[in-house]
Amino acid sequence: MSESAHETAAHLALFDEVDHAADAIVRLREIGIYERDLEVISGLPFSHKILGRPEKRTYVPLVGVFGALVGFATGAAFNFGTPLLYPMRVGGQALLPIPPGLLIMFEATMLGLLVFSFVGVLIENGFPFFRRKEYHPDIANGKIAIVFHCLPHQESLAYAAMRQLGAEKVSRAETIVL
Amino acid sequence: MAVEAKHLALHHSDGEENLREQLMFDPKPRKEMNAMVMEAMQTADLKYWTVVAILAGLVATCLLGAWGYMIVVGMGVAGINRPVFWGLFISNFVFWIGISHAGTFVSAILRVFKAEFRRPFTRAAELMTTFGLAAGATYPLIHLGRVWTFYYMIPAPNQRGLWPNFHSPLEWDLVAITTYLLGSTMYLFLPLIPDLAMARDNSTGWRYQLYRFLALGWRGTETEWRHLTTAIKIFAWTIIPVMFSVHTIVSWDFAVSMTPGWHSTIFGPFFIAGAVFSGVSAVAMVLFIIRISMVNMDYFIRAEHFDGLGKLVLIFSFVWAYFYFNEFMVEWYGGEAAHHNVMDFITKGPNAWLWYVMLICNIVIPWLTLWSGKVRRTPWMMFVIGVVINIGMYIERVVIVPITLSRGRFPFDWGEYTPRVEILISIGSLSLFLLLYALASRVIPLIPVWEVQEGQEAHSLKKIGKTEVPSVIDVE
Repeated sequence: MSESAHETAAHLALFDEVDHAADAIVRLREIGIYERDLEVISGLPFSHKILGRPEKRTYVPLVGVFGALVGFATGAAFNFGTPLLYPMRVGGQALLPIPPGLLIMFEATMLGLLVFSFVGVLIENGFPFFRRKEYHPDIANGKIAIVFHCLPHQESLAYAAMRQLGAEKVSRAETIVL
Repeated sequence: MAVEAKHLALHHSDGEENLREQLMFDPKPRKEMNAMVMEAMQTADLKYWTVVAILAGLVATCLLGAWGYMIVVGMGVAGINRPVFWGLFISNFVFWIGISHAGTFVSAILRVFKAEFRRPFTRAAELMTTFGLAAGATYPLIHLGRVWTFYYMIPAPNQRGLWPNFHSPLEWDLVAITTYLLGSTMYLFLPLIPDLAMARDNSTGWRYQLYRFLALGWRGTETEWRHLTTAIKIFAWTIIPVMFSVHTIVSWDFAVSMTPGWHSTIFGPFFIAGAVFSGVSAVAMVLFIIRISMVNMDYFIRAEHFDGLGKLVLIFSFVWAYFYFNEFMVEWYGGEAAHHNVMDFITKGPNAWLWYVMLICNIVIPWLTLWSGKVRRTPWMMFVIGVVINIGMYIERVVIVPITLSRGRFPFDWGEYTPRVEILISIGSLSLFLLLYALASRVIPLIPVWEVQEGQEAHSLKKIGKTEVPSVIDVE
C-alpha cells in the first residue's frame, strides 16, 4: 500500500487489556495500516516491546547534555570571569581559585542539565497543549486506546478486527479539549 | 507478557492472605484507585479547616509577625550576640535542609535501586523536599537581618559593577539551594503530570480548570511516556549528587572555618547521614498523619511501608552514630585544648542535658525499638519514633551551632546563648511547612496512582519447584 491514510479521519479503539491492544496493533498492520498511522494512548508507560511497536525516539537526554554544557560554561564564567571584571586582590589569596570554582561549576552544570531536561520534555511533547486532540477520558481510568487512521476500504475490516479482539468500543475518534 | 502477570494465581489461603497485605499484590482496578485518590483530595471536613486556620494564624503571627518585628526593631530582639552569632536561625536552616533530603532519598535513590515499596509514598516524600526547602530557604534571609540586601547575593552586578563573591560559602549555599529547590520541584512535577491528567479527567468546576492547566495537555501517548520516563530517569540520577552536594555545602558553612568543633573533614558525610536519618524519620511521621487524616489512604499506605522505612531509619541511625563517634573520638584523642573545651562544655556544661537527650533520641531509642518487626509495622509507633528522632536531630543542630559557638578558641570568646524571637520564628516556620503540606494534600494527588498500578502490573507469583514465590518484572 502506498497511499497514506494520515489525512483521513482518526478512529479510536478502546481496550481493557494491553495484551488485546498489542494483538490489535498486529492485526491493524496486517490489514495494511502503517505504523505511522497508529498511536497507542495509555495510563501506564508500557514499553515498546510490550506493545510490539518501534521504539520512539527522544532527544531529552541530548537536550539535557546541552543544558549541562551551558550550565558548565555559565558556572565557569561566574567563577573565573566575574573576578576579572573587577579584580580585588586579597593578600595571599588566589584571584581565581580552582576548588571553590569546581563547586559553582558543578552546581551550575547540574542545574543546566535539570532545567534543560525539563524544558526538553515540554518542547518534545509540544506542551502546553490545550486545544482539541483525539482522546478518551477512560484512558486515565485504565483503558488503552489505539488511535488509527485508515483508508475507507480498510475501515470495516479494522472495526471488525478490533471488536473480535475484545475492543470495548470502536468508533470515529472524538476530539476533546485538553 | 508483562501485563498478564497481574492476574495472580493465588491458591494457598495462608500465602494469599500474607501477600494481600502488600499493596503490590492487592491490586484494584485503576478506576477505583483514581476514585479513592480523588475522594481523599476532595474530602475536607471542619477539623481539617480548623487545623489549616490555626496553622495560617501561626504563620501570620509567629513567622511573618515576629520576623517583621525583627526587621523593624532590629536584630537586637534576637538572642544572638557575641560570641554566638549563629543561633537557632542557622540550626533551623540545617534542620529543614536535612528534612528536605527525605524526598530525594526516598524517591530518587529508591527509584534508581528499584525498591518497589517506595511506589505509593514517593510523592509524599517529594513534597517534603519542596516544602522543607521552602521553610529552610527563609532562614538565610531571616538571618541576614537587613533582608533587603539579599539581592547582593544574586549573580548579577550591583550598582557599583561588582559581582557576588563566588568563592564565599554564602554564595555556595545560594547556588546549591537554588539548584536543589528548582531541581526537586521539577522532579516533583514531572511524575505528577499523568496524575494531574487523571485528576483533570475525573473532576469538574475549578478543580477541572486547575488540573487542565497543570496537566499541560497530557494524553498518555507512547511518545509522551517515552519523553517523560526518560526525563524522570535523568532527574533520579542527577538529583542524587545534587542532594549530596547541598548538605555537604551546608556542612562546609561550618567546616571551612577554624572554629573548634566545626573544622572537621568528615562534616560533609556526617551531615548527609544526619539529614537522611531525620528526613526518612519525618517521612514515616507524615505517612502516619496522611493515613489517619485522609480517607482511603490506608489502602495505599500500609504496614509494609512503615516496615521498610523503619529499616532505613535503623540503618541511618547506625551510620549517624558511627560518624558522630568518629568525629568525637578524633577530637577527644587529639587532645587540642580548644577542642577539649568545646567537648567539655557540650558534655558537662549547663546544657549537657541536651547532649544526653540527643544520644537517647538518636541512638538508644531507635536501637532498642526498630530491630523489632512488630514495632516497625505499627504505624503509630513509627510516628512516635519519628518524632523522637527529629527532636534528637534538632537538638544535634542546636549542639553543633549555638552551643559549640559558646566556647571559642580563647576564653574571651566564651559566652551563653538564650534564644528570644528565634523561638517564635521557629514555631512559625514549622507551621509554614505543615500549612503548605496540608493545603497541598487537598490539591495534589498525594499517591502516584500510575506508579502504583505499574508496580501492581509488574508483580506476580512465579512457580518455582513446589511453591509460588513473589517476583517482579520491569514493565517500562
